[in-house]
Amino acid sequence: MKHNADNTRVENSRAWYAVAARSAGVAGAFCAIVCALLAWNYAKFRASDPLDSPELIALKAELAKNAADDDLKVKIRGTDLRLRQQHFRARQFVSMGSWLLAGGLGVFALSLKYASSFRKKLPDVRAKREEDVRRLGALSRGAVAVLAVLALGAGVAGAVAFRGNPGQPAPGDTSAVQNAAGQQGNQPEKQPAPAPASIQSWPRFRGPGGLGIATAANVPTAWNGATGDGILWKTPVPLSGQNSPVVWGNRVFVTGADKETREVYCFDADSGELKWKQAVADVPGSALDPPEVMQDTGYAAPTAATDGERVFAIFANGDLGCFDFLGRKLWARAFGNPENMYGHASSLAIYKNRLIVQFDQGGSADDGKSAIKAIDIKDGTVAWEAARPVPNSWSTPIVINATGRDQLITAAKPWVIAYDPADGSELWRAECLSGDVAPSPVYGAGLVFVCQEGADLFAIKPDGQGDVTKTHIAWKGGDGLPDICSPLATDRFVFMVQTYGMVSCYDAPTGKKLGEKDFDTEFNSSPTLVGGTVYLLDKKGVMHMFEAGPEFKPVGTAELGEGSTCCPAYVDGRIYIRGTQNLYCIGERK
Amino acid sequence: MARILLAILVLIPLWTANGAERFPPPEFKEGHQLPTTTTPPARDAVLAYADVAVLAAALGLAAWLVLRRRSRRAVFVLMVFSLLYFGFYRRGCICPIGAIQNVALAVFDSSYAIPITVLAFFLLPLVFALLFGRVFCSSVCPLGAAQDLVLFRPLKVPAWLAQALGLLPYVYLGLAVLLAAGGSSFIICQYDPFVPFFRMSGSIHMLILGAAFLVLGMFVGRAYCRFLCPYGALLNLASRLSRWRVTITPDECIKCRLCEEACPFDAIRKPTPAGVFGRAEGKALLAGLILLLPVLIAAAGWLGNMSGTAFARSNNTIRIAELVRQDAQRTHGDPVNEVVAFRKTGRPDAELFQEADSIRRSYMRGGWLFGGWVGLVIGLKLIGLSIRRTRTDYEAERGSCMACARCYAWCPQEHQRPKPAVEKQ
Repeated sequence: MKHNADNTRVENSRAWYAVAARSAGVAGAFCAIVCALLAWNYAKFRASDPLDSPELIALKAELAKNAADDDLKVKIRGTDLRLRQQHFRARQFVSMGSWLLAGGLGVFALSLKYASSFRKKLPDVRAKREEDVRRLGALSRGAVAVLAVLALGAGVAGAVAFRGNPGQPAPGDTSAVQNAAGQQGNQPEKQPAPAPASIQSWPRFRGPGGLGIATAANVPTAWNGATGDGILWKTPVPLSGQNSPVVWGNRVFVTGADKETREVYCFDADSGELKWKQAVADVPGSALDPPEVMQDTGYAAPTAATDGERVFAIFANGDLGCFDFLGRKLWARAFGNPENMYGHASSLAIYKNRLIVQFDQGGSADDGKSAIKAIDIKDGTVAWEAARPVPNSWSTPIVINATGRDQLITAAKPWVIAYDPADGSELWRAECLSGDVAPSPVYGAGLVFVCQEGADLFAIKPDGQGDVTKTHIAWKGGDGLPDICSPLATDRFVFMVQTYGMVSCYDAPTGKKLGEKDFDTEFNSSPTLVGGTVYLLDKKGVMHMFEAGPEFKPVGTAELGEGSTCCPAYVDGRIYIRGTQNLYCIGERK
Repeated sequence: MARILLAILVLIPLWTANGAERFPPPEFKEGHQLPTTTTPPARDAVLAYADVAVLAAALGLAAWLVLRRRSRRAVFVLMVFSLLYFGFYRRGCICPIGAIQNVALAVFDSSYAIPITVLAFFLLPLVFALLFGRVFCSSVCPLGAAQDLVLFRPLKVPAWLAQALGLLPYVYLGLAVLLAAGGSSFIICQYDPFVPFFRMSGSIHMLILGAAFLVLGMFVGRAYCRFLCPYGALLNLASRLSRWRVTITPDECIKCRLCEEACPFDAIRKPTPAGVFGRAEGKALLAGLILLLPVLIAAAGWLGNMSGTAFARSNNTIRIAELVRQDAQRTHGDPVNEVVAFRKTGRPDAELFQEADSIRRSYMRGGWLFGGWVGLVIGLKLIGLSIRRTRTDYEAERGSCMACARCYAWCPQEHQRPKPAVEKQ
């Protein structure tokens, strides 16, 4: 009985083995067929890649020669559609084939496993040789040691191969030059060490402090743009702008813009070579459409500012950019299109590590849109921001030190407001201006001066608190009020320049009008005191120089040969003037 | 012949699957509005909890099948189920192996909140290993199942080589933790050789790597699990402390030697009668290695610290900072996409460089820990190889036994016992 049972079991085993083996064979054949089909599909799939289809590329090339051929366009679209359909059909085939193959392989593997289970044999333990356990232990330790050495060697190799400081400018890196499209001057150079603020720097609108008073006195008094006499160099500025040059060491910066593009330019102060230009573009939050601006204002009216390591520029659409002296973008931020009827024109100011942005906008103070912001120069974050009860204005703030405290002075309609530049808290305010306020405030003889056509010239004592309208206005004058040009104040005099050519002089401490002179020309530029001479550039590009006094005693005139509306920069032995097309350096070649 | 055919069959689909790449949309210029790009929603929380429940149930069942039922066939069936569910249905994610990185990131980065289900996936197999040994490896891990299924003719890896290669999972574990904690990458997932099969898609390199492991797996039992799997390293440690574990024989070992070759993973240790080793010699060696241990840890730690910069390069922030720095040196051509994208953020370069430097320093510190870990593992391995243990029976090694239940079938005692048994410690 037992013998029969064993025979039956053996026969059953054979039968099951045969079933398993045949199943494995069928599954294997199935998988082979699927594989062949997948391989065929893959070859076809590669050949019909729509991205590199020679047929489509040829058709597109033909279209490039004959762009108006509508039949060709239809043919291209048809071919593109056909190729894409082929491509996705092939992908679908791969997907289905993969699943079929996976299933086939599963059956194949299971069948083989099952079949092999009928062929298992007991191991022949008699043939086995005993291992030397001690030798094995030593071998294992040796292998581990070899692996450890290999691992440590890999560590050393990695440390050596990847030494250095990834993602950091190497010490003494000499190659960090921006490469924006169209940029010139790609030779490697070092970020220049910041030159000290001195007679070689003109860091913002109207120079140090924004007061229109040069620290250098040795600037030229004679030149001629037409003959080139006294012109050190002259370089075209790619895009136009009403802003003025700023200077630090051997760098001169101006900005330019049109509806689409906003750029910062850096010129070599000695040669006039455009070292780099950099676009303020792709700023997160930037307005999609350009703002509406008056043609005279343009898209780049605000003057840039520099702290000796960075240059900052703001444009009519509220985009603010910061670059280092090699043109590398450090940060940028967008304030959005300001609601400004002529176009944003307030220039930037710097106080310690803060960039001051006066961003007045809206048709009325009730709009509540105006603000003044202090931006951290290192990263562009807003350090503080103060809302301003004023509508749009075009004046530029100044920072003064008066009565032992730093004060940020702003002028708009109707308020002249002084802030603590450290935290934006308001120190005092005076209600005195009206109209479209463009002239910037100035400081001299211990008084803050503001003026605007339609209002008055006000001299305000800066030692007040709160609303000082009735208590701290030292004097006011009503003649010769400007609508664009900022005044110039010294300890003795205040000069005001009207657009149509009249220049008035007041006694700074008392407010007594001392004199006036009609220059019979038009001015947009503001006056600057250089030594004892007032430099005043008219719209035709003629510089009028006269002694700073009520007699307006002429020192001379010099013609640029190109119109200008900017405020020139006056530094050691040189004057930088932006004409309507070119940037000029006036000076003697050393 | 059949195996060669199988190898060919495995390789061909790999070739074809490479075609499943991303494809750009047509260049419409008129009229047509491209549909809005949408992000697939996260897996429903209920289903995620269901996955945890399936895992727990599978682990429990595996423990019962291995220790009580002692059935290789049942373990095999569960293994196929796990391959289908955790492999092909869940496409290899989430899995406890990759969860190591989530846990590492959660530990070192307070801003990352690890999902409870991921944590459960990480912990459950470890808890089961502490109780029952590596039952996760036996029949729940889809990676192990895929390799186990193709194992037709297991060859013996020389013991000395297996011991050395056995270090790799610990090194890989340390490296994965370092890179995950540093926020660089999840390399375990990135270089999982089997996931491309589960997803029927992947880069040609990964498909080739996976195929290589499968072909290797036909002759070397679970090569990935034994010599690379970082989670296997953790399970190895946990299962050494297991409350219950696999015993080859349910009764007294009769030393028939039949089970010697039963284990394709070389996890069966032979009896070593007392008196084989020289006592004095062993003690001196052991003492020397114990003294060497702190030196190894310090040296490897220092080397890890030196390699910190190399590891840091895997970090995206550092990579972008490097590209931005290189972009400043560019004299022609356009900036690379990464630089363009970075510029669009409006973020200052200086801030990027500062963050990159901070990350690099973190990697330098992490390098100490990683190197120290590698030194510790190597030192302990050398010490472990020098400790002489005396065995009287054939035993499944606690750490490396994958609880596959193959050895049961070879034991004559097993066939004589009518009831399953579990050895209690």
